[in-house]
Amino acid sequence: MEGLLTGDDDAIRALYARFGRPVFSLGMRLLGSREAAEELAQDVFLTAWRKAARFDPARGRLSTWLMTIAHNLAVDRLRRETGARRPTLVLVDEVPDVPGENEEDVVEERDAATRALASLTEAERRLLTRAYFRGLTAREISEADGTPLGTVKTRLRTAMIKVRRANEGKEYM
Amino acid sequence: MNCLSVRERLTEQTLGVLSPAEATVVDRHLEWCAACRKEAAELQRAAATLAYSVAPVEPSADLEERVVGAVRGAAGRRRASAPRRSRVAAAGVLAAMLALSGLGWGAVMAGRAERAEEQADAAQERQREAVIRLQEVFADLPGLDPGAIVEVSTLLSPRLQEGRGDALVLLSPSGDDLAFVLVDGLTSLRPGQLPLRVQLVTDGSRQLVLGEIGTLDQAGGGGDFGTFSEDLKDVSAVVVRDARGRVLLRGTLSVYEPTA
Repeated sequence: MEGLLTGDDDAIRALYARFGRPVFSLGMRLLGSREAAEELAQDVFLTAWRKAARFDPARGRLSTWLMTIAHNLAVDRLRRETGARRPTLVLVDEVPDVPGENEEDVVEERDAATRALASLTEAERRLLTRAYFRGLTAREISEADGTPLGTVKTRLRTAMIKVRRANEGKEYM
Repeated sequence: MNCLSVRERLTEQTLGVLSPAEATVVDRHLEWCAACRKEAAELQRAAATLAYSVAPVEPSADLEERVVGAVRGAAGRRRASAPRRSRVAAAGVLAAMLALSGLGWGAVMAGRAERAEEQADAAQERQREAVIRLQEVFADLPGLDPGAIVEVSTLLSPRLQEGRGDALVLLSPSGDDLAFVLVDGLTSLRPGQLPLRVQLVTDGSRQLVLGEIGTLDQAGGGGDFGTFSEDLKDVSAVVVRDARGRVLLRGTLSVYEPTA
């Protein structure tokens, strides 16, 4: 991370090698165009550089920190561009394995994501998708569905607990 | 906001759908509450799993070069615009600012806020720990001049009205001087009074601009910091004014005693 702080090429390339594809994939699946996903990737790594001093490994993993930055930036953009058409979300368990994708950490992260998705009911999966991938607040979901706000919040919490438990005790990220 | 209220909001916080105002309040709580911070970290990790759950798409081959170029360019611009006396390593200065605002300094502030909620003993203990942490931050930071002098001030309303604040000035013999200002409890300001202007006042009544605080959170809190290539040793007071120039808070700096 010290190398990243000073804009060192090798440090940036190492970070990109590990997170370039997941960040780009998140951008593609949420924003729907290569142009938007590439802009997102540049913004994510620039933000990581600006905030590198804030990263504390004692408080969390690098993958969590970086993907949180990526998600926040993507959702900010979704909220700004409310009228834009969004692509149908495609999740990891809906496509076959990509040939050549055998780097250990990529496979582990993919497995963890698959376990997390498998732990959810269809309704929980839809709910988390709307909140996490579409940026809808609990209130917006409540109003759209005519479901009490407290119920939506409880369901979101229950779904996130399942995601968390699906990978408890597994050192994957 | 107490731990129960924070826990109720952590799921939405980690999903990124909490309102900015509520997210700010939750973040301030997490600065000092280790138990809620641990819970938040676990939820954050679960949320990151969701980020990996989208089906992968291969980026174009030249994206890496564009990313490297963008970061290298931004880093180069920062180096080129660095002040002449910037001998403190950039990483050290950044780490100092963020460590102060996120760990030590923020926790000191949180301790004070908590005291107002009649949890005096626990808050004072946390505040004591924060002060020790602050000491450690200064002792451990790479690139930070060990001979640096820290001055602090409590900022109060001269008219005994609402709000309070804290200022910290770091005088570095070998590099840039730093100044931090945090305010809290300014809940009755009208929109026309923002942004707040933060000024450092020297013994000779000269005024240096630290910066502006454009927005305040629900608790009337906000802050700013700045690096100065010129020496701040003559700065003796800190003043926070509203947009019309009216003094809201002021305080006199004195040398920080870490054993306090």
